[in-house]
Amino acid sequence: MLADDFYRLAHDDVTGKPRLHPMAVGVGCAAALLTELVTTRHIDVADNHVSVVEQQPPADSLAHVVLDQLIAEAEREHSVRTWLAFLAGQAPEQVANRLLRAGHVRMEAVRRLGRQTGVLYVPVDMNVAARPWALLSHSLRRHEPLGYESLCLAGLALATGLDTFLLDGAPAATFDYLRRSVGTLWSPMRELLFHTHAAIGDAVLSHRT
Amino acid sequence: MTTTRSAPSSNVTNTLARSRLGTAAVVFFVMAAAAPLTVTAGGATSGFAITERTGIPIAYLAVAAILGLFAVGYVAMSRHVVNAGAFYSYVAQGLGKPAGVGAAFVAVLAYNAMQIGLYGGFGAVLAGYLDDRFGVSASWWACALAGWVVVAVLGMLRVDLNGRVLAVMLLAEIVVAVVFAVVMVANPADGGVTFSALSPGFLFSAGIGAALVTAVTGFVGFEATVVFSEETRDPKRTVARATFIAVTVTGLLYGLSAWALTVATGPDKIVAAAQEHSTELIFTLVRPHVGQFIVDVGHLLFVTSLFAALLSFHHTVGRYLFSLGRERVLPAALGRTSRRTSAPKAGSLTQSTLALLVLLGFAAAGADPIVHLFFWVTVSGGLGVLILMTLTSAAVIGYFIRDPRDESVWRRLAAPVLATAALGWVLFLTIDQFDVLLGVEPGSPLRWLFPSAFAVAAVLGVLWAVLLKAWRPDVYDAVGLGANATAANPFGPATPMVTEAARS
Repeated sequence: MLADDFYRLAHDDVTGKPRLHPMAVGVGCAAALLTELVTTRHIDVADNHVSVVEQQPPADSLAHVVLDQLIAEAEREHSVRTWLAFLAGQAPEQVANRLLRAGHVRMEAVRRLGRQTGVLYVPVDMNVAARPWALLSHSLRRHEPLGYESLCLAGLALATGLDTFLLDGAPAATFDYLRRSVGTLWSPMRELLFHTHAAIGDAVLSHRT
Repeated sequence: MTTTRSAPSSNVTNTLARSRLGTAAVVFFVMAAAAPLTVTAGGATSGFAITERTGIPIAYLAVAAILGLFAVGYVAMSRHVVNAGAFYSYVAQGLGKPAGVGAAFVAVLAYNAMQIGLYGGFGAVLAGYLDDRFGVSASWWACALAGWVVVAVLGMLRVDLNGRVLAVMLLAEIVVAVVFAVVMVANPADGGVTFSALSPGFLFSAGIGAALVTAVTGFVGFEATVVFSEETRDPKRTVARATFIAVTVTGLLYGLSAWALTVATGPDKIVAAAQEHSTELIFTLVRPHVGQFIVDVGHLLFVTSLFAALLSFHHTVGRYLFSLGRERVLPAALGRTSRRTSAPKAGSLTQSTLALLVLLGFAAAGADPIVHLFFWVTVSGGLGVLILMTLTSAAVIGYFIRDPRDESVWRRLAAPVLATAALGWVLFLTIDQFDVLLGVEPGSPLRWLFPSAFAVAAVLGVLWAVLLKAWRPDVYDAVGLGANATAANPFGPATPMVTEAARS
């Protein structure tokens, strides 16, 4: 699942610690969940709004939960940014729980001064956890054409700032290739990713990071 | 933000509202940036000493009124523009993009000046305090450098002072300032309690421009309320309420505190007393009546107040540079953030480097930290912000003339016109009397140095905008849009440009 792969990309494959600021992880996971629904043609992103196109429940339970929320508030016509902000609160935990149910991560308590302050989702198999990074990074570095799902993942990485991690040490031409490739995504994805990038930027400006 | 459909509450809106800020949080944040104790203990006393004007108290009250008037149009426009946190984006969207870029350059210079000048105050006050209480003799620039290191590190890590810590410190500062003021009024000099320093007649006296811009400098920071437009529970009302509360409370605090100083020394002796004791004046006056402990607390809060202001303005400069980097008006590297901390690293580093160079320069030149760095440089920063506010006020008029957008006549026309006139008047007086402000001879070249620096910045900005229009029209189109600019957004060009509709 795309959001699972984004989560793996955004967290260390051994320790499970985030590679991004928590706010960026939230917005990124929210965008990833919306991307899943766009891919299955359940929703459309256009004109700064998210609209539900298909109400038939999707196969995945988390995608179903998100779609239900979108359907419930459909007539309020919230903007893309509002949905990203709303979903960002829960998205990382929801995606982590999906990984937990599938047995890919295990929960570990984060302790500070002896007290538990949070939870960390540590990958069970670090090879599986590193796979999205490995495949995407290699394809990009060799300038290979990317499939749709890989392209979406690359787009999410670029929007959230993970591109520097993904293409660590690569020449500028590779970054250019990434940008050009991602530019070929269809317009719902491009608009979603535009707002993802802008939302993270706006959070910097309003001191809410 | 939802469109206006009434209907039972939306789960999305409610959930988002829970993590959003209320009026109090916004007020605390901006008042901390305005640093009340820094102004009452440092700004006002330096003002009396260097400008040699007695009308400082009434100037604070007058400026509070003018800024309140300015805030009406400013807040109204903030509801409609993206990148509401930066003055230059108002100017770009109200007066055109060349003016916007000019304003951006002025803003970068002005806020840098505000921040760097504060190092002088921080260094001198900390050095004085260490010497006084602990007998540790340290030079002002060593203390300033120590502060610089802490600010630079916190800035890179994007650590802002914890909201609660800030609130507690701010409340303590206000309590101390009020206590000091009450004590001073309760122990007047021989003439008894007189209100002569509050006489409106001062507003028309010679050299009042100097007092007015000193007052403006004290308020800088209040404009940051609009930064939180997207983060408040009730976007229409919270920001407006917070802005007016901030201006009113700080205005009364500064005005009455400065007046209390004149009561304690006698209005005819305030200038001499301020020149003799400098930033120690307020403590010297209250010490016989409140005891050493309260004075120590006051000193400590003075230092922390200066530090809070330093960090706040550092972040402000970082934000401006980040915003301009995102638009590609300035190098795109400034628009990048650190992956893990989301800090605008390049912007923070740039500001820290600039501050270091200026600090070392002033130290090497043997400058007086209070007169030359704290007063001259911050008040010049205040002049820059005054220029920005005047332009913004005019921009409000220009913006609403094309499309009233359901704002009342008072908010979009009457108040901004009055505010622009008032600010313009203050601006004219300030530049005309800049020699009084600096406390130098009328013929001194210094009196033109600071104002012309802003003129040069503005002209460079306008020229740069013209060049951008020719060389990079897509960047030119995005001026004023900040993080929503398509220029630095990798998904920009093929997507329709984010306009006002995006904020609904």
